[in-house]
Amino acid sequence: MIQPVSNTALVAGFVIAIIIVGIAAFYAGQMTAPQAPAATTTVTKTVGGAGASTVTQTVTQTVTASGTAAAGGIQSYTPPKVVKAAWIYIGPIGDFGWTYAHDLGRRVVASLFKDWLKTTYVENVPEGQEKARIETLISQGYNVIFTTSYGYMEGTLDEAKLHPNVMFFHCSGYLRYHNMGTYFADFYQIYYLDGLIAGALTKTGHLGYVAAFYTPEVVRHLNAFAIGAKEMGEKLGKKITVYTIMLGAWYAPDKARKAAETLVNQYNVDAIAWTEDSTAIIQYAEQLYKQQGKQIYVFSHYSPGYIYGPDVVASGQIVRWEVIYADILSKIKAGVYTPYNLQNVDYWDLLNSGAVEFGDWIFQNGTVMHINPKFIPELKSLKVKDDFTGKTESVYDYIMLRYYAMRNAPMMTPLEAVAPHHYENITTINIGGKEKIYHIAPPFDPFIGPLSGYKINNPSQKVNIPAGVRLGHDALWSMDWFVSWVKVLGKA
Amino acid sequence: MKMKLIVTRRVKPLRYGGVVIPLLSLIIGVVISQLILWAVGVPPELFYGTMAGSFIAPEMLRPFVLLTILGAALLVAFIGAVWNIGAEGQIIWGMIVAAYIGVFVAAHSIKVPLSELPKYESMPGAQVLDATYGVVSVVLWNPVLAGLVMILAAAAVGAVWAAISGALRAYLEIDEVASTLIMNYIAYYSLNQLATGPMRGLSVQAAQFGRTDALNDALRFPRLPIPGTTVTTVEVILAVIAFVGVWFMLKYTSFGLRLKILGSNPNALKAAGVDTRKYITLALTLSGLIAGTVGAALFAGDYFFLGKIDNIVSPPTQNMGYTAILVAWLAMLDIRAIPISAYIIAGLMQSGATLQANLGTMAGLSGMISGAAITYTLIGFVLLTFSVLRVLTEYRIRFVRGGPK
Amino acid sequence: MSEAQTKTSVFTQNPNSSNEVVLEAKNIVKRFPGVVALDHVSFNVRKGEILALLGENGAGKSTLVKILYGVYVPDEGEIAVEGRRVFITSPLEAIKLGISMVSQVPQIIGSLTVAENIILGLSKYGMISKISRVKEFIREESKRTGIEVDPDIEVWKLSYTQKQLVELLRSVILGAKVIMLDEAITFLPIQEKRRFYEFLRRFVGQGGSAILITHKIPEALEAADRITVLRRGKVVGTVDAKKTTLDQVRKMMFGERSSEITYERLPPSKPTEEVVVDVEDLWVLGAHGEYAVKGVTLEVRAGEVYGIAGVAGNGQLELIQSVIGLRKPVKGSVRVKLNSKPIDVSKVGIGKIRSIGVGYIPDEPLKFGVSMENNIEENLAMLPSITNGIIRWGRIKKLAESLIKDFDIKTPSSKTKVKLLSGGNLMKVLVSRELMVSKKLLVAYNPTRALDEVTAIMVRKRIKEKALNEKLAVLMASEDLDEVLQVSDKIAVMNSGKIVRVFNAQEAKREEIEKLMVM
Repeated sequence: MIQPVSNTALVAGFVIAIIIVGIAAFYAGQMTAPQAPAATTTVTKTVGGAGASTVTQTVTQTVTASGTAAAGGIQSYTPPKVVKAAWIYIGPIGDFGWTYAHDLGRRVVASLFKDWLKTTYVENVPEGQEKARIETLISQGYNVIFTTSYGYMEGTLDEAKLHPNVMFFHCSGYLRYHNMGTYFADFYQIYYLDGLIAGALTKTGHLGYVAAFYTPEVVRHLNAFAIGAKEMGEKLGKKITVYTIMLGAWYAPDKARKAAETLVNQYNVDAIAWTEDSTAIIQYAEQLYKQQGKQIYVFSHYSPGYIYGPDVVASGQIVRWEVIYADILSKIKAGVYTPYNLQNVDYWDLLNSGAVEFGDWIFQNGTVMHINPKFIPELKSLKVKDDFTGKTESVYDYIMLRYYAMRNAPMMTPLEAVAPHHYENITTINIGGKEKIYHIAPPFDPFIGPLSGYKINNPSQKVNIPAGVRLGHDALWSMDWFVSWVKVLGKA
Repeated sequence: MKMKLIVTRRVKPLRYGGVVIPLLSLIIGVVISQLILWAVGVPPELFYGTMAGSFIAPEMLRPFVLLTILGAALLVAFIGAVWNIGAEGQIIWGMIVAAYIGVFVAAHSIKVPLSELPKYESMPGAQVLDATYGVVSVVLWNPVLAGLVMILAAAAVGAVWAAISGALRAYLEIDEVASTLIMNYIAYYSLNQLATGPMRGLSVQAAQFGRTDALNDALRFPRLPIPGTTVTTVEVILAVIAFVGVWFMLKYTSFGLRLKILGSNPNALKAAGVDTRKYITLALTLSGLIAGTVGAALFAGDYFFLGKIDNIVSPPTQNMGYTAILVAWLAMLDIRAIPISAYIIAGLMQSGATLQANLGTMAGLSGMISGAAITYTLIGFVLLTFSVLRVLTEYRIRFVRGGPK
Repeated sequence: MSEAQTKTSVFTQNPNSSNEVVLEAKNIVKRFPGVVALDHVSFNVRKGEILALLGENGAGKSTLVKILYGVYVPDEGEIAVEGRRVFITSPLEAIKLGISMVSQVPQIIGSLTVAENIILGLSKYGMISKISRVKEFIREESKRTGIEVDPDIEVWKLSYTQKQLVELLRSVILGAKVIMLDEAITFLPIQEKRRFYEFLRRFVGQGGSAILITHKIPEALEAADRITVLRRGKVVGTVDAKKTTLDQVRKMMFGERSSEITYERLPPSKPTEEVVVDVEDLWVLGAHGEYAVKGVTLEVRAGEVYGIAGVAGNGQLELIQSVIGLRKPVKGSVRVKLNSKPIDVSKVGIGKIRSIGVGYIPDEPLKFGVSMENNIEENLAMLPSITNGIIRWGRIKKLAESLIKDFDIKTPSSKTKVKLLSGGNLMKVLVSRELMVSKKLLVAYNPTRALDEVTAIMVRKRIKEKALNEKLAVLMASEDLDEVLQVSDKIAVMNSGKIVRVFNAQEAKREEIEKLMVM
């Protein structure tokens, strides 16, 4: 009656069963799925299936080499008749901020290219879940995928490797593949202009910055703001300190408001810029002004924010992703961009590209309000010496001069398909002839030495940029240090 | 004469109730949700179209498979009236251990001079993780071995993590609902500590965000070759093993039978000479063991790296450890119904996400209502209907003529 | 009419008509899957009487009572209270109608005091009662019955007898017209039983009615006015308790099988010299932290039935529990020798000895003996001595079917959940299983409680046969002296935690034992 099998043996048996079946299954899985050695065959098949009659070995080799895109097989590529583009958004579209701006861009190109472009989007996709969404979109026939959050970077690359005939564009990252490009509209020049305004308007000399994370992008923007503020503040005899608080989230209105309250109440801050995707800080400042008459100067972020705080928004940055989207999509349509040559496609769009704008409002007729008229008289009344022109001029002129110089910089956009960015690091070249030294970059840039600072992760480690050295793309994109007058206040 | 309503408990449950009730709940729950969403402006045709599509979308395959594993895992504990609310923590530890093996043992990252990178690009088993700092991942183990060790180690650690709560309940009578729940948070924060500390990688990504280096391509679990899904072969196999294993255990082993009796009558078990404390511990251990394998699947099948959790309410488990509680409950603790209820819950989750996307793209109602809100409306009404139907089938309602005068 | 008034009326009114029917059941039919539990049952209770409802195990007594108390709803038939048709769908409704029940297991809440428990019941009906009046009533009745109950004591501290009195008092205060006692005092020591009968007499004397559900005929004859006998779901008849005899009622209950009933001592078994249970100077704590077993020493030999007689609550339960390994002794040792080496039970616990062939029939069989939510087969397979590892259900099914046949267990199938069986059949499942797994030793507490006479005697015979033929050692404690006398080879009398005397069965005299029990 008694059976000699104990429970322990049973559990052990169960575990052994897992192992045995697991081994068998794993081998079975290895055979069916595209692993590294098998990638060649898979790719060949997929490309062939896409309608190319002569699939050359060059394409296949390109994939296995996992490196530079080769031009060899491209002759057989025909651009799609209908481009089906899909966007993956991190947040809800809403009516303000990062995702809203991307979707605005999508709507512009969808209307502009309606003859040959179909678009869709998925909002609220948490980082880590983008792959599942991409799979769905591809199975629905979308052949261009835009992923619009930094955290999607590796997931997008994973999918790019699995779908070599679909084109991917990832926003704000730096990983690329033969069918995955990157793009970004950079605000650092505008933050510098914001800094100039803040440095002129501040009464306390204490400025605040509310950061989502200390990513290189945010750090770059923060530093540009601080550099602008100090440049102007010192000319007006003020000692500038920038206090920063990190939120740990890109969208966190409650935390952002709290952080602003802390900055104002405990650190006597009277000008605030930020990287956070809501209008919380504008509304807080406006409320403070209306209820207590207390003037805080703020700089709206991403979408035009003047309307949320006409008494407090001094200026800000506006993005126009449609500039980049229109360029990418038209080049896809024209067959310039193919799934085999995106390896070096990286848009790094500054003021001169039109993808970003200095201002806080766009009027009905399309003109931009660069600076809130309420503050213009004060800026015009303050006089400073401009080292560039050698003249004493109003702060307003000082700022606008720099704005137009950067806005009208001669070159940059045509360089987006030849990443990495050593060309943009060149400011002047000797072209001989009567011109000799020729300027190809704007004469102004916040990141020109001398600058001193410290590493964020290790404040005891100092950073020194010697006088006259201008930081290039790579230095800006891996920036992990703050200028010395930035004080970190910890996490909200 | 008056009519009188009489409610009595049914002695025998409804035939095929295990299948009929969840399916009926699904239909009724969906219809109620539709009416509510209609009231806030969701067009009915869009709603039903999306619902129908969502239940056959390949994208839901993965949540379905993972929820089946987790449903089976939780059922093992629940059936013994041991309430494992800690699948989240068990999954997280599975991820941590799988990450440790995948990134540090079976492969490892090295920093090389940037000039040598091209050499590694073509080297088999090596993968350039980051060209900025010059970080290369080098595979040391056979991928099959590495995969198996990742799964087994994740299972073992999930089991140990759960066994702690089990032992606390069994030997010190500390309520396991509270302890497993608390252990989830300990696991989340442990992950954060490890990912930003000892396990932080060498690559520039790891330097910017607290996280490990990425898993070498060669060690990643291959996907099932079905377009539109991200489910891996390994996950499907784990689900089959978990389902068949738990079914067999409950039906054909004395351990399974005694677990069931542990749930309904522990005293009788004690008098039969069974050490109930050992069984309580074992129930949680086995539950954690199965849940732990999901951690390995999430790491080596989906995320490929371990990153700091910035927002504690959205951990990389996607809260499936909690969702699985609904799965086990909807299955009425019947293992045979676990895949059905996992399918229903996965379908509803998918519907929420798709419906929201379709609202934006098809109806131009973007941002009107969040996908999570739709999902929870759906799940909420399905479960509510389910509860009501269960009461109705377990009790009989009769009308009798002639009441008190 | 308020409840307080009802209560007073119960105790002041004089019954002027004893023929007035209070509660009547007409043609009640209740079917369970595969079984007709009640087949057109009709009976009534008159005002001012005690009606005994008698029947063998599975006759349908409990089902009938549960219908009257609103636990089940009948499939057919009518219930009338004071001539008015009623629908009783829940116990709450039954209480509203003046029908209350005291069952075998006390239902009052352990963490509340006696008075609080009673008030709790009252407040359900929105009654504003003065707690002082309730307390006064409890004290008064406690004095009158001679069962001491302090209204301010927490219920968990009370003995079984005290709890049952509280249950009864609660029924009275709730304004019961009919109190049903479902085996509620069957298991009490005889002196205390008498106190309850006196209490019931007073209650019916003041216009109440009582239904006494039991399977013990002498009790019914002694306490009741009328006796209604049920057999296999049908009413056999109703007789006047004063005008009938034990034999007549027995015939009604068991039919031709009543001839099997005997209280003769069963033929003695032939013990060997091998000591199977060796208990030495055992001291065990009881539930409330006091010593329940105080220095017991005993030996049970292979082939011997060792019976322990005593009034409930004198340490037998704790003794049995520590012999089987469920309760750790403070001092002393329990050694069980199954093979060559004795096992120290206090060290290894119950699991070890149970898995190698020790049978155990516990007290509270519903709680410790069987798992109610599982079927008969599963209740067999749960034992480590029957299965360990993979279960072969085919074998278990055969095993179950042989037990069902052997012990005449009334069940639709071996896959029926045991909660659907009647109390007696449920007990049969337990007893048959434990007899089967007993290889060397059977430890039992009240092994035939809840079994009717015919079945009880059959079980005793089985035990004796196993002792005789398979040299099984049996250690059995029973509150039923008849049982101890009938089956034991050695009889130990236990009183206040000590064995006061050990008799050889031939020398044991009933009167002497009874005297020692209450000494």
